[in-house]
Amino acid sequence: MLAHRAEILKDATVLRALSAQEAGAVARVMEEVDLAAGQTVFVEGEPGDRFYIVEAGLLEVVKALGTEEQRRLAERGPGEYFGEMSLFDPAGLRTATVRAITPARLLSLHRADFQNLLKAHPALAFEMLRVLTLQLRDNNNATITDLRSKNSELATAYAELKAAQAQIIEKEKLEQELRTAKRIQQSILPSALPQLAGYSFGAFIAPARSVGGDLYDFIPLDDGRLGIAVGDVSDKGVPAAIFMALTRSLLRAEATRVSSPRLALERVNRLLLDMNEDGMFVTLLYGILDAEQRTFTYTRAGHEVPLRILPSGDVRLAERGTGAPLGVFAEIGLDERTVVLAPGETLLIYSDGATDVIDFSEALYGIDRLRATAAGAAGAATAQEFCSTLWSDLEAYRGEAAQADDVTLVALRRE
Amino acid sequence: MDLVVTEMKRAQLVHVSGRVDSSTAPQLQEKLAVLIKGGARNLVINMKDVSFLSSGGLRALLSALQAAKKQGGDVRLSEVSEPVARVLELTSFDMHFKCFGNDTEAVGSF
Repeated sequence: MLAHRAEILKDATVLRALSAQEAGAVARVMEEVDLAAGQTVFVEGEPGDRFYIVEAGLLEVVKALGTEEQRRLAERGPGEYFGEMSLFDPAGLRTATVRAITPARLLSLHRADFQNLLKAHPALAFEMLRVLTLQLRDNNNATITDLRSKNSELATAYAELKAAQAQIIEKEKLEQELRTAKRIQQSILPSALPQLAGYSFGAFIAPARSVGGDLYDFIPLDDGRLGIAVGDVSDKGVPAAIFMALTRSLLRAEATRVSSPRLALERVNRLLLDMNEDGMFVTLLYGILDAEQRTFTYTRAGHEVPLRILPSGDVRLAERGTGAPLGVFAEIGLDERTVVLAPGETLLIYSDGATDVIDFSEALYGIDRLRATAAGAAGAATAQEFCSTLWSDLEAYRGEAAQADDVTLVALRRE
Repeated sequence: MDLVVTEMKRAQLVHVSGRVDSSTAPQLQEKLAVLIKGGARNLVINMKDVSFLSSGGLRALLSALQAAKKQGGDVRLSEVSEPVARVLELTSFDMHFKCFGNDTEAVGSF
């Protein structure tokens, strides 16, 4: 047994300088340690007073075990040794953890025996020092490589961070521009409802995005007449908003120039045709309220047909008339229709965003529900309250679903 | 919304089904534009299975019509469903699109 150990010790690189007799002497004071795979010999940071030579099996030397920094420094197999560093170190703490990869058998030497051995054979100390130095250099190189890769990871992370930040800045710039666009758009919509004796007015608009393609306008005309318009551009977002602003300006100009809604829209159509390269169009309902005559005379350019809500709760469609949207066709076949407003009657002009509201299951709100809600709101105190009631029901119906389209509601009531 | 294209001798037959609303209309517009760019001047769009057509959907049809006309072609509709017919009528778009009772008639009209 001892002879066998002495043989192993002779094979151990570090003890090659020992004679057979000396190896035999060391072998006598060594203890055998058996390890299962995964078992730890000692743990980094704990005091150590033994030196080990591997008789059989494979072990690993691990730094910072169980942390993110964990790194395998080396492996130790038969004939190799470990645990010498804490024996040189006066504080005597283990500088790494060693554990068995496979089942292993070790021979261990106590600090006192180890020191005696070194005293007797200073050459051993030099050999260990030489190996130690080499290991130190390897470790340093590994540390430098580690540092380099950490540095490059940091550099990558920094570059990514900078790119992300640039994106955020770009996004914020865009959002800022959209906020500005929204403000401009809101500023071109009427800021107050018209005041006209014997009538009340309501208006509500909710774009599906920051800016929208819906519009409404109240245009004061001479002789106590008032122009009322609701329009819907066939798109959403910024392109639609620009087209909407253009339409609104043209309508404002033409409405004061000619006294017929049909003529005004025909002129707007011709002007839009010249400017529109993109195939965008706008549906528009424009009419003139004659306060004295109690009539609303309108032209419907492809727009939704207005609803007439009588105080009794009776709801009917206004006359449809004919007409295509503006901006794409030279021939649009517009006509003019007149509603004679009954006392207490409310006229609702809306964009299709109202009937096209969908709930979470994508079921449409639809014209029938709009008519029913309008009937229920027939007794609302003011035209504005009438609009609010309708909007509340649309919102309740939509629930958590996203708003698909711009919604505009304009109501006019004869008191 | 789904879209199936069949190549016929005189025209490309495009069968559209489902909802053509503000979220799907841009896809329809894009696909029709690609077809026309690819040399299909004459299109027949079968709309019997379209359950809803928004103003965005109208715009998709319109931009296809304009592009086709620029190439000397046309876009014609076949088997227009009731909800689509209502929208076409309401917007007077039926003045600008030729509508047919079935695909054979529509393709044969070219």
